[in-house]
Amino acid sequence: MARHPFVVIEGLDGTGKTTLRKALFRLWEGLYGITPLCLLTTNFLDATVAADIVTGKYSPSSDNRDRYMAAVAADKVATLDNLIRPALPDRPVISDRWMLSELAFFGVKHDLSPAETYQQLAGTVTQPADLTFVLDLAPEESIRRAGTRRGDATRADWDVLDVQARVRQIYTEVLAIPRAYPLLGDIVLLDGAANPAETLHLAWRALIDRGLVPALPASKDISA
Amino acid sequence: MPAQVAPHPPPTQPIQRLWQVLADGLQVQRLHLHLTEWRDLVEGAAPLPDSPDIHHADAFAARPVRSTSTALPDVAGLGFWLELPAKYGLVAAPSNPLTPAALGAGHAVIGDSSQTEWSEAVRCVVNAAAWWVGFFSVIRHRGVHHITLDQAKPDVSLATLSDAVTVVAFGTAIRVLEAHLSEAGESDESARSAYCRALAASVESERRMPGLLDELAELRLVDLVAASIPWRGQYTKYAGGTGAGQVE
Ligand SMILES: Nc1ncnc2c1ncn2[C@@H]1O[C@H](COP(=O)(O)OP(=O)(O)O)[C@@H](O)[C@H]1O
Ligand SMILES: [Mg+2]
Repeated sequence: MARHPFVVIEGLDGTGKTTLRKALFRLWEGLYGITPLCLLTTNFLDATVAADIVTGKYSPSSDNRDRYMAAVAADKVATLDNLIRPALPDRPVISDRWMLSELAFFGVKHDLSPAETYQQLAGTVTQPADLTFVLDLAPEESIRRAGTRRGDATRADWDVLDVQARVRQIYTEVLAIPRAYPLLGDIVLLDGAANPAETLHLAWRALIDRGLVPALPASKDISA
Repeated sequence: MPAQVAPHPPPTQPIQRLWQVLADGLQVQRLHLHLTEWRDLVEGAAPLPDSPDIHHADAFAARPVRSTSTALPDVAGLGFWLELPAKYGLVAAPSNPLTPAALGAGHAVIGDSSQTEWSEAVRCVVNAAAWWVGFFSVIRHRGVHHITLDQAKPDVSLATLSDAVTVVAFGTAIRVLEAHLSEAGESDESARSAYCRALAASVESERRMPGLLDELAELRLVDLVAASIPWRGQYTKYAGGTGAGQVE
């Protein structure tokens, strides 16, 4: 059955993920007449693991690592079953972070290699994204940008230069061997330093090139 | 890429486009309901009681220069947007102080592509945005607060009205470019680029929207601006089954 794409946007905090997501949403809705579903890397759809997600994310330790891994996988399966797969026949899904962010988290907090984390998650999460955009930007700049946002909690154990530099390094390692990570789908690297309109244009181009947006209707004349 | 990813266009009119048609009708209705009131104020050239920056009501009344022969505004459903200011705008009136904001938005979208059919259409619709915001600014003191529905409202500055024009202008530019890209297809790179600039501007202006609507504070201006551009509140008037288009 024909369906729309599952698109993921990855990148450090402050690299412009939300900005790109909103713009792609408007592009799909405004030009193609299709409202996407936007979601996040964890959506708390499996209530039985919600507590493990909160503990594992905000108080990570070697004791809760495996429970957290299982919880993240269960939540992703529930998100695929209850949101993504039901949505795709009618609309694209845009996820703000997905697999790559989990690989980075376990790398930084638990010293697991991306390949190890991937292998564990891929045991339960089986549906790949069609396309993963990765917004790349020097962490000095992404932290500065994230700091200009109001009402955003900064975490001392995460939103700091050495951690963000390590996260970016893990992204780079993964992007060097994309074939080893098929659940990410096609990977498109975007320059986070470019202006948001250019970034949107490049992202759109990547979607057009892969046939992931519909052919434009000849006309949408609704004027009377 | 899995072979089954082959997105189809939606089979029917998306509801957002129908809400846009309703919102457009609301503007047309209001203009005609308040035309006499507007003319009295404009012809009296009285100071605007609630806009201390504007000393004469006719400041906003000048007929916008309509310079397009393209059908794109019509295709975008914006025929009325140009025709009504052309019909009711004054020929002998001072230049509209809101026009610079409108043209600034147009320029930001058009960039270097000034010789195209769509850029001519964009210039026209953004130019008219200054007139439409100006129209409702003139009669603003006769309107009600958008939340309390009281007569009492704070004064509105030229800076706030200029921000309103910028937002509305970006919204009309988006519609023209969508009409163009739908007809011409996505191979027109300069139009794609301009459309991306306009969408990025809409994302950027979302931050300003709640504050801007609060400063405008008057129902008709709030409705005009809120429905003009993609943001989370664009169609709240219609989305809950509340607004049916007609008012007053
Ligand atoms: N390409 C860009 N250039 C400059 N600033 C940007 C760009 N993209 C986003 N920003 C700004 O940086 C901040 C963080 O952007 P945001 O999209 O929220 O990033 P993320 O969702 O990745 O954390 C916001 O204030 C946003 O307006
Ligand atoms: Mg974000």
